Amino acid sequence: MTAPHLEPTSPVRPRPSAAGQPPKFQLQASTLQQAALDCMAAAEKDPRNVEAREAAAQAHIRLVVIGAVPNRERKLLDRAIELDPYSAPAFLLAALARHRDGALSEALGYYDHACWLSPFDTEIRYHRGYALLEAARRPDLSEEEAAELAEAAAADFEAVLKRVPEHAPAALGAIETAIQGKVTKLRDSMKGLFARVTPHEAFLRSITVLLYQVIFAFRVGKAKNVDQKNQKTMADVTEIARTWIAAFPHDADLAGVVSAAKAKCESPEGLCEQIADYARGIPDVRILRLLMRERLAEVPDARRRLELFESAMKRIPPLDGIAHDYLQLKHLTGKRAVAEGDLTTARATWLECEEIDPDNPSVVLNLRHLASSRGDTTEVARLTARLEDLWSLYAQVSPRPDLVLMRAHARHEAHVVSELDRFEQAIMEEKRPSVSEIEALLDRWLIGQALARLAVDGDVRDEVSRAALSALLSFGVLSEEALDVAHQVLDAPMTGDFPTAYAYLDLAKDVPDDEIPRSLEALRERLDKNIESFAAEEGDPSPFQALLARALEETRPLLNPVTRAAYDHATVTVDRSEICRRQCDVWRRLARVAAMVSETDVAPRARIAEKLAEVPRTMMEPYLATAMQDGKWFEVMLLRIRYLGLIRRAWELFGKSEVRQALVLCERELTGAGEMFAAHELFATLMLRDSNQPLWVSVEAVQRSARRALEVAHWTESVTDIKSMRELANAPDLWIAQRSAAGRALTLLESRSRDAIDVLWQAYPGHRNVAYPSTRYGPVVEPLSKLEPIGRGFYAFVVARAIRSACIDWFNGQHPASHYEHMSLKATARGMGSSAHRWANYALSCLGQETLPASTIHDIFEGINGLLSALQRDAGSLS
Amino acid sequence: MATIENYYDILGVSQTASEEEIRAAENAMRKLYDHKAHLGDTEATDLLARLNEANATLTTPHRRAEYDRRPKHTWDGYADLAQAPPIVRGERLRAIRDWMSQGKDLLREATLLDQPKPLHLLRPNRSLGDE
Repeated sequence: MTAPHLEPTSPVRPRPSAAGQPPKFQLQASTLQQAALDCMAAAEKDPRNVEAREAAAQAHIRLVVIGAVPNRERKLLDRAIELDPYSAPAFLLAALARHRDGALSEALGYYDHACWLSPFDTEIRYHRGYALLEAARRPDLSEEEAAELAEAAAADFEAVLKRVPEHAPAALGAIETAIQGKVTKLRDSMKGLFARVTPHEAFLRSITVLLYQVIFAFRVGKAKNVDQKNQKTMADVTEIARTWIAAFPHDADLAGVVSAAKAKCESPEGLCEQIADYARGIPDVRILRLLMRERLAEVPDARRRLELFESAMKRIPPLDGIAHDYLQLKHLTGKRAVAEGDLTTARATWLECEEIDPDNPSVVLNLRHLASSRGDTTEVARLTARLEDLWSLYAQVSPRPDLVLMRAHARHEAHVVSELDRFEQAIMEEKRPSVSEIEALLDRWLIGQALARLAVDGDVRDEVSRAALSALLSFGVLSEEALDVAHQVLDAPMTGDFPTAYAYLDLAKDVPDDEIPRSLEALRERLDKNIESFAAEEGDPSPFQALLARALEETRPLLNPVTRAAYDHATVTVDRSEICRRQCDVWRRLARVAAMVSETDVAPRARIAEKLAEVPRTMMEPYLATAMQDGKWFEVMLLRIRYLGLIRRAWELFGKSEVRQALVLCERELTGAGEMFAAHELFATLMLRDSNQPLWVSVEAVQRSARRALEVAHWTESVTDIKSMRELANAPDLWIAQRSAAGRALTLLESRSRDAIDVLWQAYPGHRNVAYPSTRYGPVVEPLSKLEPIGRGFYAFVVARAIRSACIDWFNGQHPASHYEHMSLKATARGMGSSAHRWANYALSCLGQETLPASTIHDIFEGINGLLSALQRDAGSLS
Repeated sequence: MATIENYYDILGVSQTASEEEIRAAENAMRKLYDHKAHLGDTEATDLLARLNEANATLTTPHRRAEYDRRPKHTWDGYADLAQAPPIVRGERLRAIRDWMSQGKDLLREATLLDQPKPLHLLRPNRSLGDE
């Protein structure tokens, strides 16, 4: 639409006006501009000066009307609305300007407001009706949605026609809305609707298009008497067409309507028999193709369909597009043969197709599928080479390169997804993929993503050279060149807003309305459950709470059909958005699988991490915030990919009690893992158990590591692990020392009981830096046994064990020279035993306060009971 | 018999098939498999179950759209050899409008024969020099 400007009214449509004639205005641009400035100044001086505000607003409107400000229309109109919010013409012009610029949803809002201000104005109703009709034509709407909008448009057109019956554009609009609406209503109202437009050359083309649309608005077939009803409807179409033919007898397209209406009522056999007559009568071969396709679709047997088509082909010259239909029908007989399990016939059919159209990549692809299913590798290789050539050619010169590129993308993507499924399953069975497997998968995924982007983005496609396109479409080994091109393609900026609200619900943009509240409820339930379980385990539920809040906020427009329609209209198409959403999903899966590779060394793992980090995020960026696996998550995953293997190896060493080696490994290789929770957790645990470190030096190191672990912890860390680090970070020094001493002593007791006694002594309150007292005559453990039980249950248990163990060692090492001496030794041992008994009982009494894992506490409990029984037996034998 | 995974291939229809075509194909294939299943062919019994799945998915528009977007189905299926004219009502109407109006919006053109000017809505204003 060009900028509205004053011209004499057309004879075709009478100008509606309250007084019969439009008012005459002084409309020179310079006068208006000055008047606008004066009025604005007056309005600014006294904001309550209504007259000045109205005059200023009107001056702005008139400047737009005369076309004096072609580039600033919207700005001027917005200012006019600001000055006079009750100005219907300002709203109407603002709506028209937005409508012209393609902002349909926004325009509809302005039309509605203009209509509300001036409900009886036919101009406003007409334009709103037209805008609604345009909205109803949108391809992404369902039939119901389109019918709903068409009905609203029809109401506006009818309101116009009620006041101005000769308003021809409104009458044409009413016909189109009826075509977009329900078919039964169209059948009944069609004649009356067309009768409102008097034949006039200006509308000839529109009427012809509308008549063809009417013909194809109805289905064909015997079901529900459709064919029978069509007979009457097509007779009406013919009658309408004849009225116009009387005025324009030489219009071929109009004459074609009569032929098409007749053909619509034919049976499949009749249509094919009479095809020559219809081909002469209908000038547009596409209409003929559509009629044939529609009617032949009724024939369920593909072979019979092909026979009919072939009989029709003998009667007409090879019209443009008919050859395509023939090829497609032949192909359908091949497909039917596949469905019936007859692959030999299918192959023969596609070979015939290959003869007709040797360069059709789809024929080659189908033959390749067949060769692959019968295991003919030579044939597969030959057809693959051919397909590669054809794809490369079609992607460059075909009118629909998107189809070829999309299929090429699907080839890679299908492979990647199936491999990911396989790897995820294998990981669950402890069979990890290798680094090279993941690297190959990542490369292939990148190429696939670049092809998808090229399929949906013509602008980026235009920037890619032929050689680069060929490299991407290659079936062979992925070249460095192809990977470079893929990076460039994926890095190109993307235009348009993405419908990310759907991604929270894991839905595509084209789902029906009722799916949305259901999915939202499922999301809320899932997140609530996570929040509850995290809170119950004293974890941090805030990331889940933030995601839920974000999801609820962003999905709100989707819950109302009107706001959803506006949201959908304002965002990019479903094909484009789904490619990006899927890219984000697969990228996350790749990162998770990459962290679980079998290799434990940092170097090969770092290679995958670098590759993953280099993947351009332009396409997936909008989707990152729609899940918990966001950008921060990815940074954590990159660290895990690098270091998780090494951490796994260190834990294995720890499991074999090779604490020192594990610690050496950590200190040597984990220098880059400073931001990783798991690394600090491992270090803290190792320091607790490393007997080579002085106890109190270890305690400080453990506390430092635990605090750092908590600082870098991510929500994906195990809640139990976080709890255990929190306990270490917050616990008093002595508690950590006792836990560490108990752990170390348990190992030391197996070989060096003296060292065990030493470390237990150091962990007793007040014994920091106090050397263990030497004993000249009594058992070495005597000073320890004399201590009052205190501290943690685990520590007390190990002390009890150490006392008994040292006592037994001491007693067995004695060689009494007399009965008296023997009795004295026994008395000392009994004293030791009762001391161990006291520590064991104390351990039992305070085991409930112990914060170790439940399984460990259970083991300690069993250990204490065993020790108490043993002590009882000892006492018996010593009495 | 090789396993067929793609729903369109199970039914033997094109990827642009209308709902009617899919239903017709489903009926035809069902008759065939029913007969085989009746003769004790266990494979035919499995195929009947998959036929139901295929029919349920392809006759529900949003499920079909979702299915069509899956790369595996795009790649594994037998590709159509030519783009057939659209058979879905909305697409058909759009195609006719596009073909015959050569990309122009004829209704809009009819409207613009008389350019819209809401002058009749403006009242004469003395401040702007109107009498």
